[in-house]
Amino acid sequence: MGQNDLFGKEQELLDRAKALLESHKSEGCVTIEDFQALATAYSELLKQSSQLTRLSDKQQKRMNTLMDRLSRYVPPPIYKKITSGKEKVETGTTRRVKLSIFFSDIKGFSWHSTKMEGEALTAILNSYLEEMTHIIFKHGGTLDKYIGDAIVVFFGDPDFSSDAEHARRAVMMALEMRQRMTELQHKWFELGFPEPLHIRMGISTGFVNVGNFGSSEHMDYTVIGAPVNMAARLQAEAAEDQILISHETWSFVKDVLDCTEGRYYDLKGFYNPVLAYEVKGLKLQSPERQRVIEDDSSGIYLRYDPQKLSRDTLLDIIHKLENDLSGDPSIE
Amino acid sequence: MKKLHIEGTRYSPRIELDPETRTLLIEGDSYPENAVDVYGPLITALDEYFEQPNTPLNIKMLSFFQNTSSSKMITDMLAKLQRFFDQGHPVELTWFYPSDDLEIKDTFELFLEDASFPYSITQLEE
Repeated sequence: MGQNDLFGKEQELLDRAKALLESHKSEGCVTIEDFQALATAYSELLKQSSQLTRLSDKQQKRMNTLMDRLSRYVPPPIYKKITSGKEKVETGTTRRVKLSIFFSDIKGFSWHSTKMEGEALTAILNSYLEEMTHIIFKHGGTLDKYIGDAIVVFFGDPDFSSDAEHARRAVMMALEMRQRMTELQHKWFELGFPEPLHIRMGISTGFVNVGNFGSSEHMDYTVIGAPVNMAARLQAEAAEDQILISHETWSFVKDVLDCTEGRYYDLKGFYNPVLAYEVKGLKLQSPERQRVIEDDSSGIYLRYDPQKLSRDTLLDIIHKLENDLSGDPSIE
Repeated sequence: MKKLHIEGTRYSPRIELDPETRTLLIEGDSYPENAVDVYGPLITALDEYFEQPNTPLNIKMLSFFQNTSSSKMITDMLAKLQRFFDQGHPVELTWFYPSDDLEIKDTFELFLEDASFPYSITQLEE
């Protein structure tokens, strides 16, 4: 028997069974020997079908394992887009969209790294990237790449919401990263880094080209354009623990964030000085605006922003508290 | 018979059945669009190869991934090898798996669960 068809053997068996039925039609019965031969052949087929089903399941499981491993090398939103078939995996498929771009690095990391053992450095760097990446994903950023201790993130692609939302999420992410850095200093000191790690961050908003860049054999899903360079240059300009944002980013976040007055920076690659702002924090979080009433013995902790809290709202809160307390028998 | 040589591609393995050295080599992952084109000539050639009694065959497989239709053709091939072994041909097979990849080893064991000819599933040296 030749093997010219994937199911040639199976088809042959079926034809044999049909022929047998046809030839014994008039008699209304088949011989035990013929029936036994067919039953044996069908039993072989069943065994092979069962084996192939299990093999197929194993291969599928393996494919899932490999895809899971691969997914850790690709930003989740892009992985989702590629595996859903929505993204064409070819160069030249770029779009021009307005995004918010984030750059960060650790001040002096390279200098310290020359004096440390590779293992300790790896542990610190991985710990740092793990923490920061968790924050990136929490805020819905697309992790473009790690470059040593530097991180590049963009907001607005592949999932688009609004320009203001992207800028706000980028800055909120930066604030949380800065906060987390202060909490982790002790851990990194214990791991062997001799001095506190300080992050420097730059954010810019504007039109960029996003999509596949590279060759047909290897490509990067990334962004190019002036706002990308601007974010990188602002980051380079930032002092330790400073977040510098471009004027366009500022225009989207100024209502919710406290920023310094704008200042012009001479950035490499930009002919004109660039207007940028330093982010201090959330307006409510700015220490100079916060008012706190705290009394441990009475179990009171109240934090508010007097610029946002009107007299009517305050009276309303007091009224609600009075009502609440008067209904509680445990309050004298 | 003449030596059978099927050139490997990005999606299909290189196959060499050599009557002089009494060896069969299948090397490369296998997920071709049409598995019959790849394995059909080999399965047919095996009939000619085993025409003489007591013809030994040493099979070496370096194929880690197979799509379902390739798996079907390979199980057909293994069933045929089993029949030839039962007829008295000394058939022996070594299937290599990548080091420490026990999932692949399990898969190969499943392929060979009904084989009674001598075989080994061997870790590939790095």
